[in-house]
Amino acid sequence: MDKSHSIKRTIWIVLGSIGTLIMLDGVTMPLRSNAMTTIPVHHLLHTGMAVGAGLLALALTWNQPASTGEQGGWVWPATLAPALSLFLMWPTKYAYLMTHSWLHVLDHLGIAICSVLAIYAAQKFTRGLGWPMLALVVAMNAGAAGGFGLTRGIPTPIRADATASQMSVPPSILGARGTSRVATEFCAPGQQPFVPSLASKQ
Amino acid sequence: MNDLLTDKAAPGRGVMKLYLVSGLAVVGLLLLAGLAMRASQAGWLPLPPDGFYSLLTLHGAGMIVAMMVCAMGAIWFLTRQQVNMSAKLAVAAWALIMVGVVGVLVATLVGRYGSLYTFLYPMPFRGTWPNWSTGVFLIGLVFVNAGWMIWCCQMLSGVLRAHGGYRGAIGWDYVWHSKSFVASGRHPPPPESFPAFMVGLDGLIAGMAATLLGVALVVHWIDPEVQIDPLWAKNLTYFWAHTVANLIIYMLAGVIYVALPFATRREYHVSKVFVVAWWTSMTLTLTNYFHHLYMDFAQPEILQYIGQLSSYLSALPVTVVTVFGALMLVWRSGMRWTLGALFFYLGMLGWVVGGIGAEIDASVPFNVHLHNTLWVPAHFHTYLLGGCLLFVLGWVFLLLESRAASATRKSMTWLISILMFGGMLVFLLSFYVSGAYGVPRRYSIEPAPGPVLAQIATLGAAVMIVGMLLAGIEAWRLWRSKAGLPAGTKEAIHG
Repeated sequence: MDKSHSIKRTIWIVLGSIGTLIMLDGVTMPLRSNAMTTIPVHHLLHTGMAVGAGLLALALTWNQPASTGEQGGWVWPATLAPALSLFLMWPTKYAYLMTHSWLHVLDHLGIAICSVLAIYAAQKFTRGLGWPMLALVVAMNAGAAGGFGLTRGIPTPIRADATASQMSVPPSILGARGTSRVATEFCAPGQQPFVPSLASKQ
Repeated sequence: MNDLLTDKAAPGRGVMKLYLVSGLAVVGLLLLAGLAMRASQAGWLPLPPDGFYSLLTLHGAGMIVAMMVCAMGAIWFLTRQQVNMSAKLAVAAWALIMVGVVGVLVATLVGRYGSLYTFLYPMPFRGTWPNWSTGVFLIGLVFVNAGWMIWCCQMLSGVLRAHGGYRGAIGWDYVWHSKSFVASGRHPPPPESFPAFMVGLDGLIAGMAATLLGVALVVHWIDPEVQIDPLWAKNLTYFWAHTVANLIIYMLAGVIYVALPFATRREYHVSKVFVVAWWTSMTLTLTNYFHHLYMDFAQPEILQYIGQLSSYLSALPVTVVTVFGALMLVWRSGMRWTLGALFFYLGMLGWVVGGIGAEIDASVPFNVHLHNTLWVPAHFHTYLLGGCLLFVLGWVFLLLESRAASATRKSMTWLISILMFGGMLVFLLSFYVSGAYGVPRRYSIEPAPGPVLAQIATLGAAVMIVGMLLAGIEAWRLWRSKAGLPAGTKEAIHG
């Protein structure tokens, strides 16, 4: 029993240390590199930090006893911290942060703290809840890379009279084969493709 | 569990009432909004297009949330019987949702926000309504989601604590190590625990997607320079909304597992098939929303195949085991056909028919013809109105009937049934026929034969609402007649 406890403890100390290192690496990244990456890549960096933060949070709670009741107060940071961390990933502020390294470090630190807090609080709320929260926080950060802030911006307005080859929709929206598929799958030969306009009325 | 309905001291009753009453109040209000829209499409009620679309936005978003709140109250109450859960936290979650509901009401009725309940990017930011109403609508939904996530955390926590962690909660050992499991004297979780676990976990996953989407949209609202990928936003929107819509049905399936055994005085057994069916739904409900994106040519093709497969595999197993099990319970049970029992029985019909309508639309060869026609509202009205709402009403009536001093008169039962189900049938059929004719959905002015069918639908809906009003009056009478119930009366009435 004691040996098993000791092994678990050691494993969690190792995992927690690895998590802390990963997280700190992400937090201090702006001090080592100011190279402007794309917004999706930046979101993926946050994902890595969340993995580290999650390991740290779970390591801090590894021997939490099973409880018969719920620790009600912890549910608030567990559900609100992920949303707060997303606000810290505001895509248009990256250009400014890239030129202010320490501010960028603070921003990353905020994201890391939110991630630790969400997972730690979920686990404190009820043992076992930290694991899905870790997966969700990581997935949320990775998901943000899919479309929260486009590096290339919204496509230019598409005219109904444009030919398929003239359309300037970025691959993130249309897909690599999208343009040709519009023409081949949705139009009769020689017919102009119809694509709803995304033009702003404002 | 059979005493649960009659036990006035059952813990969590107050929380359940709060959820049920508030949810049903919103449903009642939005039924009238729905009637007004159909009357407008019929050409009987002059609604300007912007008024129509803001009403449609309110009706769609509000109905989903209201039905969700009703189902949340019922399944929370059932889980509360197994494990201690904080009523304060449940009320706090409810309060957050209600703040969101108020936000949606203000945005649509005052601000005329009208980008529909699907709020697909970039539509919320391209309308004729004022910018503030977009913000209020989005922030309202963020509040709804915050309450939902807190509630999901509580449900997941409750089921995990009640059954000793994930392994116990999903009945893993019961399925894979059945002999040793039974020999050790253990029992699988009761049937209602599976939907409770599913809604806790899947609801949390969907809620996190909604958090991401909600923050992205709010950020874009504040700072339009932040661009969002429209297809990404559509995926997140449907992932959240479709999953929640599905979870409403599954939460109420949990109620069936308690209500019908009460009505039939039989027990609902958990079997291996039952457990595996729930595992399938738990997993594939998260990926079946892809069937709403068949027309999105930029969507990776593999996701379309996954969507088609998930649509069948997520719905069929649980529907089959639940409905088959329920029919077996009722068969030769001598069940009295009270309003509560009738609502449950016919609700299963609505669930199955609506489900089949959904599967037809989710099949690619049919979807080519039915996509974004009135077939889509046909199927979801069938299982939300003709399924979920009937389950909620059934639950309310069973609660009332179990404690009332006098039963509903047979003539009243017949009258309510004929008006409600007859009207509902006409209302729903006109949707299906319109869909089959290719009448588009979400149009304030429909092409022929839309207006004629909308006239028929309006009449059906009006008759149905009259039936519901009568049901409401009867519910009030049952509630009033519970006072002074002498000992033994209940058995005399229901025995």
